[in-house]
Order: sequence, then C-alpha cells, then structure tokens
Amino acid sequence: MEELLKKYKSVIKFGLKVCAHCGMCANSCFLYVNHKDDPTYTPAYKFLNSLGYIYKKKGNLSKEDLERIKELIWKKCVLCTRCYCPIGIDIPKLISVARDILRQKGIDGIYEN
Amino acid sequence: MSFNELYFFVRGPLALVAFFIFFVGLIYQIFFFFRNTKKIDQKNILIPLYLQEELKRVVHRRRGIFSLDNDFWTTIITTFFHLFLIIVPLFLLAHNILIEESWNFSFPSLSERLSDIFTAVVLFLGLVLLFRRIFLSKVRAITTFGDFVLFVLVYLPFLTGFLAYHGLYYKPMIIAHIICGEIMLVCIPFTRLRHMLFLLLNRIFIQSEYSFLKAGKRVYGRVVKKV
Repeated sequence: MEELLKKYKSVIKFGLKVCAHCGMCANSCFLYVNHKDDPTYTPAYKFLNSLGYIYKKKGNLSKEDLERIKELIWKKCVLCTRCYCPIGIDIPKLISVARDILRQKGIDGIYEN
Repeated sequence: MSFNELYFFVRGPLALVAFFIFFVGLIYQIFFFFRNTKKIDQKNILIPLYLQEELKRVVHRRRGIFSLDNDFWTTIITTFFHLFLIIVPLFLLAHNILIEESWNFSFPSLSERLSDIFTAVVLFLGLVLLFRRIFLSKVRAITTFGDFVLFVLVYLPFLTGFLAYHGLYYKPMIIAHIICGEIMLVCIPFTRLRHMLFLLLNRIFIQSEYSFLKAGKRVYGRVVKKV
C-alpha cells in the first residue's frame, strides 16, 4: 500500500490540496442526481473521504474504515468518468487509486444484481 | 508605536516581504507542478467535448432557476466573484498610486465609482457563496473548518477596504486592510487558495476532456529514467 501511495503521490497530493470544496461536481454525477437527499453521493465527498482519508491516516485503517470506504467507492461510484471538476481534478483517477489500495488489502466490491 | 509609524511599516517592509513570499511561493508551486507531471504522446481521452457542448451543459442546468442548488447560477456567481476579486485590487486607483510612488510604473486604473461598485458586488456574491456553503447539504458535506477560515481571509481585505474608502475609522481600518491583504497574499500559494494557480495549470497542461482548447499533453507522475 505504501508503494501505491508513493506511486500516485503527485496525483493524490494535487487532487486533495487543490480541491476548493465548491460542490460543483455534484450535479454532473448521475448517482447524485438520483439521490439528491444524500450528499455522500457528491464526487468530491467520495474521493475526500476515501483516498483523502487513507492518505491522511497513511494507510493505518480500522476494519470499520475499510467497510465505509468500500461502500463509498464501489456502491456509490461506478467509475463512469462523467464527473466534471471546474479546477480540472481527475476525480475518477483518484477513486480508481483508492480501489487499487483496497484491493491490495484484500477487499473487493461486488456489485449486487 | 504611533499609527503613522505602523502605517509606514505595513506598507513598506511588510508589504515587500508579503509580495516576495507570494511570488516565490507561486514559482515554487509551478516548479513542483512541472516536476511531478510528464509529457506523453498518445491521447488517452476517448470522448472529445468541445466548447459548444460545455456551454450546452451549463445552459442545460437552468432548471430550478430560483434554487441555490443550480449550477447555472453558481457558474455565473463564481465567475463574477472571481473576476472582480482579481480585477479590483489590480486596477484600483489607490493601489496604483502606491505602486507608482514605489516603483515608478502603474497599471491602468478603473474609476473610483466603478471599483466601489465592483467591491460591493464581490462582498455580496461572497455572502451568497457562504450561504450556499452553509445551507446546501451537498456542499456542507465536504466543508471543513478551514474553508470558513479561508473565506474570512479572502473577505476581510475587501470589507476593510470598502469601509475605509467610505471613511469609517479611516486610519485603523486602512492598516487592518493592508495587514489582511498581506496575510491573504502569503496564504495563496500554501493553502487551498492555490486553486487560483492550479485552475490554469491543470486545465491548460493536463490532458483531459475539459482541458482548454484540447491543448493538454501532460499527465501526473514523474519521468522514470531508464537504467
């Protein structure tokens, strides 16, 4: 996991530190548009609370953390790459890095039918 | 220390230090941007979006026109907020007189009345954006305490400048104005406010659907030297 964090350090760092928390990405996410009363579907929320959290904790995650992040990046995001960031942050890339890190921990999201 | 001494201290040495940290910080960030990105030849972008389509998606969101949760209005509000935020300090008459006195050159100036109106617009739109941050659940969910600190940091120079121009406690207010402005300048390269710089860097140089004029040719990641 440290390797992955190191490999993607630049994209993680620039993504997390440049995000202005403006919330303009929300309406570009079709999952958010269909769950308007649940702000956890906002793309910025998804990457700040998955990869941002992993990066802040430097990978020391409890089991509950992993479960929460798993739900966030598999159930609440399908990586359709349609999210739009005015500042140009590559949100799908950040989510896919978070998925990579969780897979390395042995956690995989399985879509239900 | 009298007001006059304090005034000459904050507009002299302290201002120089603030400008120095601001510009060095920006150069440092640009240097690290280019060090941490690399140029690639192949295009990884599958679906090209062009300017008309980008405009279409903004216009498409005009539904729910009186709602704060409306990207059409948010786009207009943030555009004018940021535009005046940069135009007013650069082209303000009083700032240009100070620059002329110190370095013998100056930018063209707006009329005082016009910059007064623009400042009022910045103050009003700033409040709208603050209310949006507080009352919209999707924005509140990603808001941290630091965001409010940064908002105050950006808002105070405009508020103090506006009050000083209208003659409220002129002397202490103008000193507060200069100090607030200097704190803001110093903070820009090292806090979230760096989105001022990275908006341009990301969208001009990074390869993405939304890169300006499809010109982006770089991706994040360091160049790996072959042994």
